[in-house]
Amino acid sequence: MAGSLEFIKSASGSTVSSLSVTDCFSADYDIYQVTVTTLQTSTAANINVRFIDTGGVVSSSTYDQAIQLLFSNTTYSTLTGSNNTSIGGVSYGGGDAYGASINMMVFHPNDSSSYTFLTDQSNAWTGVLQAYKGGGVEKTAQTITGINFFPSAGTITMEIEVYGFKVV
Amino acid sequence: MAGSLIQVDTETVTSNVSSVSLTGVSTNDVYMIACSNIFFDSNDDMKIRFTVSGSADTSSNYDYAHRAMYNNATMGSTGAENQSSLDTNQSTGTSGTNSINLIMYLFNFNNSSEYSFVTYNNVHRASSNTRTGFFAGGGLLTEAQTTDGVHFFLGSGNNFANGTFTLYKIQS
Repeated sequence: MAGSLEFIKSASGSTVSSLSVTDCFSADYDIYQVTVTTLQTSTAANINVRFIDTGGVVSSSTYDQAIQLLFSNTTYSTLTGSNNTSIGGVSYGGGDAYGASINMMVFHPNDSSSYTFLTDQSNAWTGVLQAYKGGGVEKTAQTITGINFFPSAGTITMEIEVYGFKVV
Repeated sequence: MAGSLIQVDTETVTSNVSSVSLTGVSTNDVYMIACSNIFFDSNDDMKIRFTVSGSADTSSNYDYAHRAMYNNATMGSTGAENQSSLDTNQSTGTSGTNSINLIMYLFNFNNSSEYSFVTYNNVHRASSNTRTGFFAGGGLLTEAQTTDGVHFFLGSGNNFANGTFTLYKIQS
């Protein structure tokens, strides 16, 4: 019996300035799981996210975020913001080879009458464990077709996979 | 057979209904509920109960605790005991610009000798202050009984106007 979580598309890049998965969101699904593995950065950097519409990467000041940072060795902190140009800090790259990973859910990106929401869970090793947990929204009622990841500095190496939750 | 996510029940709301129930938990597997773009005919607060033989358990035996994260306010921690329902979000509104989007995992529902547990992640946008919220936590019903699903309703008696509610089984 076929399962209800269906693979849609993947992308990978090595030492690139950003990496996108285009045309991965459609009317076929309403909720998506986006996973990022083998994530490394060339220097210490936050990993940021933007969505893609028919005009390209959405870089307008329309993103809100509420993210909690959990550390293995110190007090937790937050990454919050309103009307930003991306969802900043969904994970972190330590500029080393030890890696990081991300698990996201994206909600109703294809619905042109609603905002596009996401949840984020991730972890990274920077000599200590950094875990991220939070949510965000792109506040334009428009059709979103893809997702774009980029580091706050340097380059990234990563693999992205997008899955859809089938409803019949 | 490889593990799979199997759809058990779904309801798509496109016109006003006072409540939504997803039922069909019948094995000891973990189940998952995915809810997308839920909004109402008037601003309200979505609540959650578990079902016993398809009917909502209205007892005051629900406990929950979550971290409440906001884009523009201090984050908080909420805990409540002996409630008549779970509350996993702020009050939300009447369009897809301030909707609820929820992933919830169900544990032990089919086990008559243990409590029924859930964990949840809920990203949404409040209607009163346009505040983006992300609530992450867990809840349970402190009754050792078999529960077979989840019932969604609104605290002030308004209606669901939109949303997709789906129950999946994570089949081992």
